[in-house]
Amino acid sequence: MLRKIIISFLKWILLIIILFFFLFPVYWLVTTAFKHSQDWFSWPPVLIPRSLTLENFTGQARGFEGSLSSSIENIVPYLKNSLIIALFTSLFCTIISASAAYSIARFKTGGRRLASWIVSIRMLPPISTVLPIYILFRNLKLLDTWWAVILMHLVFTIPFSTWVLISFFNGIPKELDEAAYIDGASIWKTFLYLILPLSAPGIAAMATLAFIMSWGEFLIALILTSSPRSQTLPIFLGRYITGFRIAWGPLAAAGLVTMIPVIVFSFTMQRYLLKGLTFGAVKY
Amino acid sequence: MRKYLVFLMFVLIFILGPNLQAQKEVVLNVWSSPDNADALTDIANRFMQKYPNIKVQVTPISWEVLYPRMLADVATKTGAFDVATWDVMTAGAVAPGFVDLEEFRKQNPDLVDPKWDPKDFDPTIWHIAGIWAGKNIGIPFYCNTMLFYYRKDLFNDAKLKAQFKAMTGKTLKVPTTWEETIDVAKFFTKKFNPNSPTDYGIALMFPRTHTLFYMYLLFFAPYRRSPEGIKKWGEVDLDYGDYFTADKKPAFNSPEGVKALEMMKALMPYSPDPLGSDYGETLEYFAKGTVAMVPQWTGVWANFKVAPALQPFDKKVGVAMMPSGRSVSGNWALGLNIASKNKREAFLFIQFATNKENDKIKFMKFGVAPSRLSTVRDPEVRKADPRVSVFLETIKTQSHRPRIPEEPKLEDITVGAFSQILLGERPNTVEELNKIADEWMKILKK
Repeated sequence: MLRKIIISFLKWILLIIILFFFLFPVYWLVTTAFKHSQDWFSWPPVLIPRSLTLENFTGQARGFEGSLSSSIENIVPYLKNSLIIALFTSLFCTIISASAAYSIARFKTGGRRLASWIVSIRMLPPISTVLPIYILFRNLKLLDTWWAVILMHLVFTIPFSTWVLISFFNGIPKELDEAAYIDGASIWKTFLYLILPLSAPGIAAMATLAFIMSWGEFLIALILTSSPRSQTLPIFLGRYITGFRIAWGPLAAAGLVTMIPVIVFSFTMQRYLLKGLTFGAVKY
Repeated sequence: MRKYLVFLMFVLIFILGPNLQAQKEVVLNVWSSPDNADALTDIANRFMQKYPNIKVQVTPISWEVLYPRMLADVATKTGAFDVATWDVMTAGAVAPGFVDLEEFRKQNPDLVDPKWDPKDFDPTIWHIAGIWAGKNIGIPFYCNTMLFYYRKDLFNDAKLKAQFKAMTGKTLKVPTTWEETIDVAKFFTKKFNPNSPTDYGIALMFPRTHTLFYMYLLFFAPYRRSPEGIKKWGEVDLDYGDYFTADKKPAFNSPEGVKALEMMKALMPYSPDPLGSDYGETLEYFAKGTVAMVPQWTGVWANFKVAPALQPFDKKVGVAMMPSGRSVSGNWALGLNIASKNKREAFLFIQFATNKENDKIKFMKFGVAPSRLSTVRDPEVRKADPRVSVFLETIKTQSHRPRIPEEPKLEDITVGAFSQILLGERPNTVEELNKIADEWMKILKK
């Protein structure tokens, strides 16, 4: 009995330590977003702010006129750009990689080499491709548009998603496809109405990952965009690193706004993760 | 299924369509360092009222990102921006990407504002933030320099004055040499004076970044610019700066260069975490009342002004020239991209942004240091801000970093080596500085 209590106690301690390790940065970001400027940098650090303020969001504590680097009042266009780019990257990535993965998994399209080649694209550092792409996109008049970023984000999200979904489709018994063919379903129908619902957890996970990858990507967005017309949130955050300070409060406030859509998207997709698991089919 | 696809198509066209539309009005894309962005946005709003057919879009880009992005555009001639603020030390590297404005004025006399007075800029500022290889590649916009901020209330405190006299036999005053700074900084450091009202005397920033590269000049330039220094190394070349001799060879690998590092080391015990602090940290140390003195850029004034620990502000914060009288320049200029498709409109904007009226407005409203002598001499401006009189003296005597294209490489080598010397990992000797100078020469000969 005592041994059980000790083990349970130790488990709780370990859990608290792990949770602290992962959640403290989030707590710090949230509190800093509402801290007065004198509490951003203090020793000992202010763990629990004595008073909260919205000045990092509204830019009222700037000491001079103007608030571009002392508030988040100009965040909306960047938020919109990020949302559109990440959502469409996620959507296109899901459609393309699910189709590609099904084709490779079921019909061995391209043999073993195609699957290996797809994953090898992930090994290419983005910086090595982004400069030639920059010149190519310049000639195509695509620079500083959402399309430029979406297309480039697809380059690194599709291989990863395809690779993972191949394994996922391989896990779904082939007998299900064959049963559908006997009932007169075409390949497309089988894929759309039978395999896709069954693989919903995998696809939801991939869509979420593609969204997160696109949402947080900095380098490509930095090189291919040059104005608020298409710049994303990671680029927006750079404005708080000024020539003489890092505005930690507004940076945390903008970070908080940056985090929220990812959390919302992940929770929305969680529903499908569970739904896919309980969809009527052969269970093992 | 089909109706879903049709719906999706409509959504795509609705959302992505406008993004691909060709724009009918002239849109100027202005890339700005965050420090200048608010002032430029304000100027842009007034410019758009004057020229309704031109839309100006100011994009703040962090210092670390702005320079490489500009270099990428210079290399590819894409025209991703029309106008940009460029940092003085990047002049040589970005010059090929900017229009010669002198030539442009000659070719487009119809655009030239007769009231725009080029002689109203300090000649040195005009050169370092405007001229490269004989071409006018920019107009000075943010005439940044380092000033010496101190706690006026502490230096005026009779009790502290008496204590200082008792401790050192000297009068407590704002230091005018680095040697005097050591005494004062020690007095204001609790470890050496338990009665000190501040924890430390001075906030120094010697991190392993570009900050260390210019901070060194505060200590080396007094030697470099002294009559003996001029005799030994010749006049300072404005492209190569105070690190070099007149014949473009390193000057810091000398006994004077060693002394400068010795002085930096001597001050370190009186500063909170000098090797780990940068702008933000030193700014906060002073703003919170942790230190009595801080050498910092002009822009920090706005932060000090609202710091609760520094109220009442006019009684607590004073500003002086750098001890030993040598500051370091940190100017920003406005340049016109050679690949811009809207050069005439961009020129109009630069001209408007740098005219006398806007030079004054941007300083009074946003604290962006003035570039024009008329602003610095303006009685209203001088009355409004105690920095101005110090500022005018400082820009006449300040030192300069190299502006040559090799500057980033030289900086990399130097900050690494200087960091090791300040940490005591490398000896502070002329032989050691010679090693750095040899590496510099290898880069410069390539």
